Amino acid sequence: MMRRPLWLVVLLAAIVVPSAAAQPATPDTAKRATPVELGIDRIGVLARCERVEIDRGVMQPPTNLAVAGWYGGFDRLGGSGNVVLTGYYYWSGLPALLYDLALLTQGDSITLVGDDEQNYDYLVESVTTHEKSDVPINDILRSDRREMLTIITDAGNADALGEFTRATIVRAERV
Amino acid sequence: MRRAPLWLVVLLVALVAPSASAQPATPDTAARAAPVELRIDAIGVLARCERVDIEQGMMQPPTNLAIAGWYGDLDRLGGPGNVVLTGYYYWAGLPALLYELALLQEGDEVTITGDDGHDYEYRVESVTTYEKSDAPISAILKRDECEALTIITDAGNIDTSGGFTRSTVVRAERM
Repeated sequence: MMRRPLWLVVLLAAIVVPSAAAQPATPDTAKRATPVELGIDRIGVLARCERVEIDRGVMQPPTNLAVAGWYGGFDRLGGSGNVVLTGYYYWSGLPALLYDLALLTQGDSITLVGDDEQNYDYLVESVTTHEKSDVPINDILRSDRREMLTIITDAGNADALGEFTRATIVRAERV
Repeated sequence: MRRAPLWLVVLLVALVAPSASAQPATPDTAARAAPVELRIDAIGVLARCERVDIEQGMMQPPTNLAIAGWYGDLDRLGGPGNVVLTGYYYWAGLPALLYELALLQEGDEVTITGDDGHDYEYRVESVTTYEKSDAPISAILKRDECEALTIITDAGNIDTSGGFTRSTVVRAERM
């Protein structure tokens, strides 16, 4: 009856990350804030953030259907770089945290609250949907000279095996 | 592969509410605020609220695993009565929004933001787990002379039929 979380890892985030992208935080970035809350008013998203990891090239999902995951191996808030978040889209018949992510449009606002209690406000730059086998993952995860935010979740309908073959990627830049 | 949400209704809230408690809001309570955000820092819960209904005696669950449901036919914020919220506990192998509700203790704080922009702060008075067949539902949903808040979710482990037979009920009072 119960499906093991391991099954989900592949399902949610079958995006394989080149291990070079999971570089350790430098001393400089280590001083920056980490995300603790995610708010996207336009699609009614409000959630706590938890740190998630990239394990042997696979982006791990959050531990809870209602919590956003922040990849701790990537950049932090408040400086140039790329903050990468994820969250569940749909699980076994029910919508989860980021079900409406693909409804965002250019110019919508996203707010992250850091563990320094500051708000970091971003504006959506692009919303794209890709076949997972075809995701330009290096471009998506690359650090940037600007202050970027990337949010990734599943997209579309489950296939015959109950897996999602597509992903929605939102890119936003700090205001 | 997908389970219909209807299946969940029974699973999540097999608590039958007496239809008498589903009275329409009076003009007095209609002027009061409705919950829009739920925050419980002690267990890391942060979520948007949506209105849910009681249909034919059944408390309906929220439409999303990451959203709190507020029973719109019961009381609103800012006056005597009983504001009643719910949320998913666990779904198909994964924890959902209120998975840790039973870890709350007397004295923990719960904050609800209303659609008037105000924060309504409550202090937990009791955390109780019931067999669903045995839950004193009239007492749980009863309107109160104080400003009460009741939060209900599933509890315990799944039984052989795939449902949860127990419920956690948190009772709090406005500070």
